[in-house]
Amino acid sequence: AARRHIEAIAKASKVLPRNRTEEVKPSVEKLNTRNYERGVLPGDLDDLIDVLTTPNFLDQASLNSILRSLYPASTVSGDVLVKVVGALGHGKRKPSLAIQGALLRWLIMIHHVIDNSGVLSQSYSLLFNLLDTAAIRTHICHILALITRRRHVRPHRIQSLLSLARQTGNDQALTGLLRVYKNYYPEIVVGEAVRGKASTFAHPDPQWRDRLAEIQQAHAERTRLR
Amino acid sequence: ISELKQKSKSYDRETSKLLRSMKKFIDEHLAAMLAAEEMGGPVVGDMVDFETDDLAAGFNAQGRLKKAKDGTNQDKRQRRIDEIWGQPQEDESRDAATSGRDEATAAAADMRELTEALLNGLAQSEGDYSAAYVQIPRETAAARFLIRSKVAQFHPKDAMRLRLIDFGRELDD
Repeated sequence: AARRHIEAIAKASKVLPRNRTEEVKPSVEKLNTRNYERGVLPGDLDDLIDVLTTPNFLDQASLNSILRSLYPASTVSGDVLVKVVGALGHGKRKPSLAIQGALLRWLIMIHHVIDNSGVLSQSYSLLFNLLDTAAIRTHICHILALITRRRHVRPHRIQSLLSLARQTGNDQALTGLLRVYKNYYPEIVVGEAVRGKASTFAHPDPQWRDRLAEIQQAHAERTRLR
Repeated sequence: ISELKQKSKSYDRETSKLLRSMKKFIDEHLAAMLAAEEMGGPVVGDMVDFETDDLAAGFNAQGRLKKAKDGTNQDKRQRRIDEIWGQPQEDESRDAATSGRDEATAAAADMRELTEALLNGLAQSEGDYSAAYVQIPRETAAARFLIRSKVAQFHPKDAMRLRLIDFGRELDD
């Protein structure tokens, strides 16, 4: 059943709204209800991320609502992560910054069910270089705080973080990330920069997290019974 | 000792492999985009798929691609004064398609020379940061692109000098 809706949405995403033969809204709504109940299977997730991250004619509201109910039923593959990370930044072929923010938020929330977290580590530089994009900065900081390891803390990164924090008048998210860095190298990152307010990177949506846990559990049981 | 030798050999192999793939990327993808930006077209990364033949047509003031017109190859780009007043250029007879390809090749060569100079500059400076700057002859799309992609940085007081951001340095090597 989910397949049919996804195909309808994918088809509608390629044509301008005024040229569509049928409304896309019902499909989106049905799909979202289903996803909320049972979660998204890996193959379907791949297709949906394709629709979300490539240029399309769907309206922001539909895209956002699909993302909001994109509960992965099992793990998330590295391919999906690559597509999401590749959709970030500026360029004619990237989704709008609002959608990018929503994608990042989704990444934060599914961070613990990623099947191959090496992918995010490998795209560390790419994410880091997006810190100057104010519209998605808080989410980027949160992701970085989750994936930063000792080997990521390099002199040139510390430098650019400090100068960016200076330029933005000590953005709270940046201060939070600097504190993460300080945990790895307390002697290099000086106290001056990490003073003041810092965001603590709380989970963006605890309700969503609980629902995701339920779905994952139910899915695991279903697959075990088979 | 032999283990270390093996290691350094494998690093060398990896490095040359990476350099080769970078060259390929520059030639196949980046060159056309850089040439377009140089000619007043869209900034690199904004338009990803066009052919070198389209470059010959040039761009209008909004940076959109002009429709290719045959025969008329009016070069409206900025020139240095000595080019305008100096010897009349002899290559007016080139047909459009080749000029587009030339632009791309030139851009690729530019980019390759610049990255090479930057890498060498950093390697030779050995921790002395003020020595790592490379003098660039003029402002090119290649230099702008490297700055934008946060690979290189200008000298704070002199934008004719450029250095690579030191990715290699670690805190506990």
